[in-house]
Amino acid sequence: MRVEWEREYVDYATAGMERLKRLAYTLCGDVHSASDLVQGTLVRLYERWPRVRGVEHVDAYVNKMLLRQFLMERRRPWARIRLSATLPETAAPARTDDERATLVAAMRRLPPRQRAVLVLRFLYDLPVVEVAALLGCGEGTVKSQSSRGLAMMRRLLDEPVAARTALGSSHGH
Amino acid sequence: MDTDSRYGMDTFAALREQPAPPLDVDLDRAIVTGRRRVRIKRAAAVSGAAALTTVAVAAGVLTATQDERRTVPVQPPPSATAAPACRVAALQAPPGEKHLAPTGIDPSGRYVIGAAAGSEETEAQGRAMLWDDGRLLGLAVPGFAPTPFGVNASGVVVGGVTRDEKLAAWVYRDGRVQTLPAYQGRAMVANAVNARGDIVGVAFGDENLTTAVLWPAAQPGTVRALDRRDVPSAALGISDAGVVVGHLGGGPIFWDAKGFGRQPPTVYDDAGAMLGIVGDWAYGIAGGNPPSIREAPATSGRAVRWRLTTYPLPRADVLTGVMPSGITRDGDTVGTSSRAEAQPPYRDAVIRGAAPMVELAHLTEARDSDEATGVSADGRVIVGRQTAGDGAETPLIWRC
Repeated sequence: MRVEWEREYVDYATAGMERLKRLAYTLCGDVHSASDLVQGTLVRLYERWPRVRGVEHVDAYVNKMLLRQFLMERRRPWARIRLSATLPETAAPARTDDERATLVAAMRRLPPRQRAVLVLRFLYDLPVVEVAALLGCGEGTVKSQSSRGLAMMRRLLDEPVAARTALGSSHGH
Repeated sequence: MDTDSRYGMDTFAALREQPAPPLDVDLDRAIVTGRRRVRIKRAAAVSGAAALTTVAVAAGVLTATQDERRTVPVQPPPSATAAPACRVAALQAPPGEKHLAPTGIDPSGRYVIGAAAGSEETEAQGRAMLWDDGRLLGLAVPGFAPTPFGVNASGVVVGGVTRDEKLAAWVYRDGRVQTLPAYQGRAMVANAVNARGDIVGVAFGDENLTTAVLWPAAQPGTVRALDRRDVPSAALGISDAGVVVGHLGGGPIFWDAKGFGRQPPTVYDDAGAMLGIVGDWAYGIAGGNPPSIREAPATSGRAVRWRLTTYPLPRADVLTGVMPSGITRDGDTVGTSSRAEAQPPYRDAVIRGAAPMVELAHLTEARDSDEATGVSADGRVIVGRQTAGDGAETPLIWRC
């Protein structure tokens, strides 16, 4: 890559790092996956920078790269299994009153596409048409995913945190 | 604005303007990897993708890395302590399969289980695999993304599969695949099987309540909950003596052979999970998010091992530097290094016990990471995978 292009890449990535980290963490809900997601996106961006630097909306392009990688990461067989379950994974009960931690924990229990739709619509304020373009699906799909995701969030955020129990006396049957 | 949108905006208000927590992201590292990939692609374009051998890729990487060190301020990788006694080899894979990963190994080291990934993008269904002494067999498990999670020394394999948008637990025994009975009609996954054929797993209930379950070998065709209270639980491993490990209420638990649930000593706070057990040694995580499906390696929390026979309480050791995926009967864990290096390879497969961590030998230089996903009870056979720069996965076996 030309030296001046690489400098542009470094400037762009440095300026956009916090935005990418925030988006990745909100999507993934844990620092390990979010770190891998941002790191992977930066590598792909480097590979494509000679082309990307010329596009009209670089931020939108990079967001799309990160989203696609987030959805693709769920191709691992055991990850896919969890995605396909009606109620896939029990997140750890929130161990803090912090509203943000509770929200992130609830988000982790949504399928990735629903998670991505909610983040883009309600955290990044993107209209349905733009979310559809970013995710490569129809507007109807975005609306239905959004509706289902919000319904699930209502249920998750309304349910009481499971009380921890004295395990010493627990026994099976 | 409609009611749904208002609810969405209000709900996510707490996340607005909040910075992300510190992440392990390094721009220099991204540049090094990006340059390497560009060079590999150029080499492939010049010599023809079909003619690009592993040797050529390795040579390209070495050249690229040397060039890059002159211009990019990155830390060189630390000198690694390789395990000289362990030889690594690629496991047999179907021609053209680029995403085949072992998920576990039986205690004797003869049987290795794994899965070729299913994909929504390509509509590939995925496939459950079994290596018998290195010979690859496909298991005819109907459904999407069938994945084995446990295997015993007789070659009985258990796992999960998606059918009609619902998970089902299955067992492969005597050359046949059978669906295991569902607890209260729920979605199910089988995580582990012991020598006598007892199987443990998890039932997914309404309101996201998971329940640890046991399919006892002595009562074929039956399934029962290990704890009937409305507290989330999961069973992730079972010893040949019938001790089940998992989590209950967000913390680690083991059920003894009589079915009594006991909480082992915990670290930091009460959170965590016991992920697997061999003999009287168990391993797991402190903190993190307790998984309901056996994942290897664990990706959250701190690695912990417990010796369950220590009187009056099991002893808990924190094992730094490793994301664990298996344990030997002597208490050595295998897994993946938890720290990501500044340049490829980012992570390595490791053995971590009482002694200092040992890095396992690698198949090729051209790799992004190695992971260990299982170990035999005597520690002499370890399985895992190598992930290349282009995302291709190679199933690996180490013989020590």
